[in-house]
Amino acid sequence: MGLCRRYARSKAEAEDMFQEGFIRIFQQIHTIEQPDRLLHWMKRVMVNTAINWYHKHHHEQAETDYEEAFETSTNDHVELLARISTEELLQLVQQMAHGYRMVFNLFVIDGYTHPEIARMLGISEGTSKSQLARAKDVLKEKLKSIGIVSYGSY
Amino acid sequence: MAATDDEWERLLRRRLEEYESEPESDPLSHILARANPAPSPGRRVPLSRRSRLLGWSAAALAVLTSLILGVGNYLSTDKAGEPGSSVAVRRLKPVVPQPENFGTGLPSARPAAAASNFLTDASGRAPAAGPNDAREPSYSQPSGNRLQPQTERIEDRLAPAADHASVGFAGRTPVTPWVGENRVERDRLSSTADDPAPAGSASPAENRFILAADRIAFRPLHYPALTTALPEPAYRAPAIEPERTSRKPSLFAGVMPLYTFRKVTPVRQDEVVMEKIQPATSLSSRAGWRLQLGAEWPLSRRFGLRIAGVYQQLQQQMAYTARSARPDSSRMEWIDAQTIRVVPLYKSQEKQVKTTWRYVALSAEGRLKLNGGGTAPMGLQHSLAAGLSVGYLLTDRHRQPWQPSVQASYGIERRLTDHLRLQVEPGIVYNLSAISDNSRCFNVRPYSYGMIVGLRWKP
Repeated sequence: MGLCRRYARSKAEAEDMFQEGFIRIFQQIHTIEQPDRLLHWMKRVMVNTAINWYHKHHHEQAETDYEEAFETSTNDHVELLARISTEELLQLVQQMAHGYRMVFNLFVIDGYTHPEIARMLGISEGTSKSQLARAKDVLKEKLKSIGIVSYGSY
Repeated sequence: MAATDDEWERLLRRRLEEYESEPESDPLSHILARANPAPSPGRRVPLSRRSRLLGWSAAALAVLTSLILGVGNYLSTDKAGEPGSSVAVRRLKPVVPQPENFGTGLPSARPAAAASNFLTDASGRAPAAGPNDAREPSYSQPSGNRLQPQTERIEDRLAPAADHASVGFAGRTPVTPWVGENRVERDRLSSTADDPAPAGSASPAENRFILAADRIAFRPLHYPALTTALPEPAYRAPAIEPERTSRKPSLFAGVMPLYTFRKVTPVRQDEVVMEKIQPATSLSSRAGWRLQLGAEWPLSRRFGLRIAGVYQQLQQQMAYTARSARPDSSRMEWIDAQTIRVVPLYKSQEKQVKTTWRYVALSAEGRLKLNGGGTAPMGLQHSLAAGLSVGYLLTDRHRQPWQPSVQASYGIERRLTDHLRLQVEPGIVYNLSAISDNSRCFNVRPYSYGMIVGLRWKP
């Protein structure tokens, strides 16, 4: 469910994704050849479900949020990362645009390479790399904005 | 910086990789319910596509049914028009007055007159009439006041024959007009003129006549030979006029100026945003026309089927602004030392498009006559017509070149000559599926109001 929360935009969408992923798992569980890798296989199925979900529901939507990233010269975002809770961090990830969120999750959290991401999402490697860079910039900026609010409330 | 980025990513991965969350509701029941669903009857079809399929199916079914009905009816009408068919004459008007000696055992004057007219000798000439009737046959127009005296004359003329033929006709009621065989009639009349037989005895000729009458008596009243045998030399008896509904198709041609409204829907695109859509409203930007040529088959006295080939042209003009979905530039403002405001800037471009659609179509529609004014010399006939067209777009390679549409009209028809009628029909044509414009940025569903002005030629 945690994996679905990362890939989904909201908790409700994560629950739907979670159910759909488990239905696939139940339907395909007889095809497992290495039972000791069950968890890895389930995670892979869930990721694939999230990607399918993205293609099905979000791919045709125009990107409506254009977070303008800009170069940061400070390392505040590293410090801020240690100060916020995981739930808050997850909310920041969910607030990112669909494409950014997908590439960010696949590369940074789940450890896929850019060629794999490009193949799974149907994009070029360059797009995957640029979207990752922009996603990281956007996330840093969001972390900084939280830091500003926190700074003001001290 | 790179080391910091890697460290930051590792921190993120550590925080999020093992993140656990519990679903709020009981997911297992949902999962199990969806994992073993009840067998669905078939593939789910979206509602919009289902309605489109339904519309197409209805249109195809209506056109097919109309064609089958029309062709079948036309073929049966042709068969009915053949000589000897019992369907050809619909209703007979027995306008011939009954002779005074009807039912008295004497042959009526009319059958005798018909028989005398029907006689031909072997050479094909008219036979010699009785001594009182040496006139040549004349086919003057009958008149009602002449019937009675002529009937009396015929009775006088045939009185001798009636006297000695009364035995043969005793007890026989001539309910059926006589259509005698030539030989029998000739024998009978020759015996009337030349060989008066004594009462009470039937000559061999009369016996043959009786036998022939027995056969004839059961012939149908509307035997076609009757209509040709009835005219009498001195006058033409009021013919049994069949009231025949003309089943021949009438041809029509008309042109329909159109004023088109439309429902415009921008096509969703990832890269372009369209705003400020302003369709032109002037007459020149919305006018179109529809030309139709076809035939109409009467299926009953009040209902007919029209099949027509249609050429239609519609147009539209509209203005809109388009901009890229992504900003062309950004304006950055420093709020304070730690805050920057970024304002995306877009550059809009104004566009004007003019689109013309041309398509050919096959139209089938039913036409219900509301009154019989068309039969009056200058009467107006009112009618309602509704039907379907299936058109093929000639312009623009559209994904859906086949365009079904429905049309309905209220018609007023005026008789100009015996064969020509003027039709004026205000109506509406509504496209069932949307058409894209030239820029493929909009889906347009036109519906047009117009007035058909045409001519119908009825043979």
